[in-house]
Amino acid sequence: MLLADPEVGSGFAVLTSMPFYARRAGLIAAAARDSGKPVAIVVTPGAAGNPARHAIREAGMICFDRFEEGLSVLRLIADHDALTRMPRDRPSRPAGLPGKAAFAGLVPGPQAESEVRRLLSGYGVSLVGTRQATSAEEAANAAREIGFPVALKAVSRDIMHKSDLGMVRLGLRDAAAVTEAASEMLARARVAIPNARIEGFAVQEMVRGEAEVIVGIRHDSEFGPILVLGLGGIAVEILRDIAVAAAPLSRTAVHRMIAGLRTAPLFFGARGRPPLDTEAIADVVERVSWLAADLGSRLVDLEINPLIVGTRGTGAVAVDLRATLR
Amino acid sequence: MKHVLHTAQAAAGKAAPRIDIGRILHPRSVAVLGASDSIDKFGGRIMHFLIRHGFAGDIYPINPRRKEIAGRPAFERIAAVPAPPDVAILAVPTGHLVQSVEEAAEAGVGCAVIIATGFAEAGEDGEQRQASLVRIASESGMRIVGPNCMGLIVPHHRMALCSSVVLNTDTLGDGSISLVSQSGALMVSIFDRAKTDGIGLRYGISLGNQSDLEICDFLEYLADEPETAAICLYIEGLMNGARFRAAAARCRASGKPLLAVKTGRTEAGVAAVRSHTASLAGSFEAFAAVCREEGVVLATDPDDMVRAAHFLVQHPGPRPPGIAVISGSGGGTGIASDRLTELGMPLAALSPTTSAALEKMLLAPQACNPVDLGGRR
Repeated sequence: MLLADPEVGSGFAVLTSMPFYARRAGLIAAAARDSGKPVAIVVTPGAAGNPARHAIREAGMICFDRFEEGLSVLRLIADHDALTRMPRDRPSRPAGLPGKAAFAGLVPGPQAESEVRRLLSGYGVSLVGTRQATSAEEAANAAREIGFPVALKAVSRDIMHKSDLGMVRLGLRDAAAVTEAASEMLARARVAIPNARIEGFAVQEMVRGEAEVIVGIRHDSEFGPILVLGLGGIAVEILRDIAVAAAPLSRTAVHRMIAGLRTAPLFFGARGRPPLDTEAIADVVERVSWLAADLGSRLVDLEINPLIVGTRGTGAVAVDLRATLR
Repeated sequence: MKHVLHTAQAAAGKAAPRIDIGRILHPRSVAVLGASDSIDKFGGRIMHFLIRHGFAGDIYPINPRRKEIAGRPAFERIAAVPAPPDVAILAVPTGHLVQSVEEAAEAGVGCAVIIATGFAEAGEDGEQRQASLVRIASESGMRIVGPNCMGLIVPHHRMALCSSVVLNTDTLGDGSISLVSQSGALMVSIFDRAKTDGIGLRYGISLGNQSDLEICDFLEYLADEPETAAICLYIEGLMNGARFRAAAARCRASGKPLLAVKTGRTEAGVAAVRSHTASLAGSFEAFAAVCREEGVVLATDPDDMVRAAHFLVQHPGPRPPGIAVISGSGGGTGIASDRLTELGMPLAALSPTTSAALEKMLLAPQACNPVDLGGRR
């Protein structure tokens, strides 16, 4: 009767000991069998439960010995149902993507950020305004043209985690601060990684946004391009809250990835905060996923971290970029 | 079991397969190399179980030192059997194996099932031995299952081509769930556990090192076979990700639940981690992402996987997500409710009709989901 309720999809019967144990276990098992719904029946006692176990198997039902076994099977059924409900969407290529011509000339190995910028802007990803400088003085001049405050980054293919080494400075308010920060970076780099080539500096406008997101993609030898998405910046290693999907992806699939994150409420506006521009995130991810698909096995990995995302309707801008090709 | 990739499939000059998967699973004749009368030996148990479970095709015991085995005429060499057997199972020591496989190929065997260990899972020498097997298969068109496997169990064909003690039973059961496992020992364990649960399997297929025939060869066959209603896989390593993905899509298209347990979840993503992406999404995460997209249900416990497949075959759905909990004790309903909620599975909100009916039997506080049978009127 309980199982007949239309709201009930499946059942979980936990048979601790009871009077007329075997007979009642058999009746419950028969009712479960005839209900037309999956029912996990658990007999929790030890040897005293054996007659009940026998009766349940006689009725043609599986007998579970522990709570967790029953739960695990119900969970697998729920997983199956959720996967079956999930619509299949075939990603379709957005118009205007350049394709192979965009990366024909690139050499294997870690790419200069300027190359990654060219590649991503060709695929229609909005990038933070950047000027390249070869010296501290040039950096200060570039900063004046952009307007303060600015961010300053050392440009080097040899340094992967720049912020760990103090190679990224944010919110520099005047020319003197830029010159000083640049000189410091050169000094630090010489100490930390003596062989690192410092090719110059990138001076960037300071982008304000609501959140930092990571969009990364790598070429898996088994399954091709695999994309990750989650809250980025320095939070990524700590939270490890990441959605993973095979590329290329439709925008709908990206929205599903975001909705599946533990931190999804932060994207949709938790506790009175404004919702993020998830449509802009989906747009960037879709474009990057096609870039990876076009690169095929030439791609080792490519990462935007952070993608700075504004509130709904204000867009998303890629700030730090890196890519390695083979 | 170490998983090793090989490139023989791509080698040029590959002979056409002598027999297809359907015939390998339903052979008309089987030769047992290393057959014996003693059930203390692999070759003895294989003979014993083939006969005990009533294999209806021809059985050719091969043993140069015997005239007769298990009441059947024995042959000195595989080449001496009257007609090339569809399948030969090799219960011979690793040292003689490559030669035996060569002889089987020359004798026109359709598929060799190789139990022996000491191949790609066992260092460089083993890898070379396996490469020899792969070369024989590819040049002759004889297929190979294994090495390092436990053989095949096909209840509806009354074929127990396997030496495991779990076959020491009167019946093999039968059903519509097909199991493909890289591990042989796990395959027979799952097979027996399922049988104890009252779940018959349609096939128990173990593949070992996948030197020639690999998971997808069988998965593709099972996806198209009408009698297979659900498929369970135990995977250590895939030979071809794109092929797996396409086969999974085929299962989905034909409405067959496909479930898998895969090892390697805890392996470090990529050895030299250059980027967050590589450290966050290693090879298992890539596999899991593809499974999600193709509707493959990932399990962690192989017996739970088969039990879930059993329920899904009986009750394909769709169904509402709500779960009804019933127990003879408040402790039972309490733990069940907590755990279901923690796992994100909702308790069903009962309709007024059901609640009213329950109230006739149970004290008011118990007349709702979860139902505590202890609170009877």
